[in-house]
Amino acid sequence: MVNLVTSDNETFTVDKDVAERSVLIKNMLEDVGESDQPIPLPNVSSPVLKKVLEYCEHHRGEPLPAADADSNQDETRKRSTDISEWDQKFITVDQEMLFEIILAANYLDIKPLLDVGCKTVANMIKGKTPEEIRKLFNIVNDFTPEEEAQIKKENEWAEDR
Amino acid sequence: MGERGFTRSFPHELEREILGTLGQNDLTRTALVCRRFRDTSVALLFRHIARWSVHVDDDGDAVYSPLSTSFEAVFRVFEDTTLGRHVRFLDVTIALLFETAGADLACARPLTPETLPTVWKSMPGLVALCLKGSTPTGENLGLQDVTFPHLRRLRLDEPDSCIEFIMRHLHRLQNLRLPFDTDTEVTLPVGDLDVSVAAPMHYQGPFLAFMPLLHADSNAHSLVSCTMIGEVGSGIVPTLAPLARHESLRHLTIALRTNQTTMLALLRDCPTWGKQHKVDADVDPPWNRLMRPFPNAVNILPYVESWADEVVLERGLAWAKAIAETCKDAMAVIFSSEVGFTRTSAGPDSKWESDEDPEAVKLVYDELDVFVVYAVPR
Repeated sequence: MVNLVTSDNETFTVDKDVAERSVLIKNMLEDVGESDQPIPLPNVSSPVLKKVLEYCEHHRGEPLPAADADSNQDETRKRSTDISEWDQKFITVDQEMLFEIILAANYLDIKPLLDVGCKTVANMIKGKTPEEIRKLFNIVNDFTPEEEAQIKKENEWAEDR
Repeated sequence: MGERGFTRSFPHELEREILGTLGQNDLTRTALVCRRFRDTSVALLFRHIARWSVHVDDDGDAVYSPLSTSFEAVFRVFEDTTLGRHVRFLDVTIALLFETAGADLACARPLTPETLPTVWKSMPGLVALCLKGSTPTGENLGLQDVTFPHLRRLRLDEPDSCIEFIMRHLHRLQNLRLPFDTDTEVTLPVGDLDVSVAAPMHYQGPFLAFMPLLHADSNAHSLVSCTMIGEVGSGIVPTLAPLARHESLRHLTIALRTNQTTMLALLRDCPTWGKQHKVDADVDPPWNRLMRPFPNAVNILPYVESWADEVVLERGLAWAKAIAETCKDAMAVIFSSEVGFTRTSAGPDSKWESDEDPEAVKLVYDELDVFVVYAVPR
């Protein structure tokens, strides 16, 4: 078993193979060797870690993505819609939690969870107008109308005609 | 889950991850959101310049359609070479570049063998390059002094002026596709080059160009698919026996302009090969000797073009049965678009049915057509 301590000082005791879904934790365990010392996770709060561990528990035993998965594989990467039913249900959370899960997955280096989070946000972008996307991400338009027209023209080649 | 908007900004690298899962249509819209999104979106748009696009329909099936404007992206790179650093996967019809270079919709500067190196050298991150077709009047492609440090997949339909370019990249290529036009012979001057480090997974091209790679003293036996075409050449006929070391080999096409004696010589010393899905052999029977190395072949497409159609029609069933005596798992033996036989299960008692257009053949050809540059997601 492994003890994980969150930013708000809560301790989670989990099976080693569940904790090791996180490459960060796996590496830390390898570095310290056999030890009862708790592992501090100062960038993850207890509600978020609870959710992340739920994901790791469900996917325990599944093969981890290869460490050298490089840019060659990006083009064949699954599209945003390819999220399994369980993952979709799991990631149906409010925006704040979704944001935190993505940050935690990135920090803990859990690539499959990061993918699920990013694809979920990408699905929210799909089909939206630039103005709707700005609203979604709380972004201010910093283009002049002329610049917008220029960008549209430059990227015409990639649009459906 | 409501969509009232995120109250905080994602770190830049995560923003890139998110936008990186979008197809091109959405990227053209995210490029208009703000400067930061534009920079990421444009980089992602130019990352992948393909001649085909793909989207998933409501049934979850991939639908492919030509992206006829992809050459315009190359012109954009030509006009603004700072964009070249984003390009990873590039697939263009080379003639189109030259033919449209003077047209209004193309770039202002002419595309010439002298100006092309500037474009190539602006793309140091290129992973896959597919230059399809030939130049209108045999122009040089400008690749002589170009090296792509990350290149893994390469298709060149007019490699004559690019032999040195191929040789420079040979040791790191996973996928090499050279012309299928059997009138074109490409010889790779392997010479002193250490081909033992070359480990292609997919090869499609001339037999003679492939032989040095096959016979190199290498520990990397990585072939998954292999198509050899063209002439066997004069002199001692090399053996194909080293192919047996490639245990992952699933598709083998031997489409050589040769006679039965030479083909049997090529197959000499060949042990049993286990996993081929397809075997083509451009010779006549005796099937038991020709098929001996491929007892587990499932779909077999022998080329019998030298035989008259009526003879193939008359003897086809007997040939299929003869082949199945060696290839006991065979499910389809297809001689031509008019003469083919399939069966629903393997085994000596299983009945062969005439089948002119079996699904198995389409499957084989689809699997054989290994992409050098994948279709770009819409």
